[in-house]
Amino acid sequence: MADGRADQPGVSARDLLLYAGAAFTLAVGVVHVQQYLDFIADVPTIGELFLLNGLGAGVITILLSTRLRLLGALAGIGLSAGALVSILISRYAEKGLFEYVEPTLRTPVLISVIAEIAAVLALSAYVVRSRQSRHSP
Amino acid sequence: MHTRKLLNRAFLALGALMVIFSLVAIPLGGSESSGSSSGSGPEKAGPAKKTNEVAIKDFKFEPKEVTVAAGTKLTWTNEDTAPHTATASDGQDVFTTDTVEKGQSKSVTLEKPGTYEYFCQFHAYMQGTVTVE
Repeated sequence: MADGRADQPGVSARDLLLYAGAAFTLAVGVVHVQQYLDFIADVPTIGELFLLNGLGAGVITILLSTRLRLLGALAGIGLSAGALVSILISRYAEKGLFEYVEPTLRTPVLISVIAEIAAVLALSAYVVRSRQSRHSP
Repeated sequence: MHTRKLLNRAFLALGALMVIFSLVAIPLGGSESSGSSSGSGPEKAGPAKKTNEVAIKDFKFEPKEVTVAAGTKLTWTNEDTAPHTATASDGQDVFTTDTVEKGQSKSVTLEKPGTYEYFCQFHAYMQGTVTVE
């Protein structure tokens, strides 16, 4: 399959980074859709963004399971980093994000932040290791 | 079967489920469908109601406009999951409930007649008006 290593039965450290990144990306998406269903759907613009996050997380997880995994990894980094920046803006900027302020670090927010950081780290490490192995003799 | 193939298939299925979950959530999210109003345009305020009780529900103040007699205690009750405030647009010195958590009620008493516009500090698009007679 991907990276021309389909016939290798084992799971490498790089694969583990990829699967960990996929799992954390899924977690980010699940929290966003759960929050959308809970109350965020009523918030203009932010509601739609939460739904898009969930949809994006699903598509990225699919990409991470195919030959397009490097593209998926880059998209996953973008999705989680974007969500992380968005929560920081909504938490700490005076006017929030699209006039939405997150007044407290609620449990779903904390779970999402942790999953976003973990997804960025795992997928970034995967991209770096993929580039290293490509350039190694 | 190889472990990698199994994991790939598992994550492929989970990704597809996530996409389906998100698509199914579209009509389930929000409370617009349960209300009597239709369309997504700006909310029509209607005539101000003579009440001293304002509900905070679905990220809206209900009623949006209220009229009270001077010295009346005006109470906001948060029926949302998210915390809100009712804060005078002219500043917290005029009045503010501070944070009203889910299920909580907070009150202010306005002594000076006039029209006060207010908003939620966390969700600035949530706005209302209090007229004190």
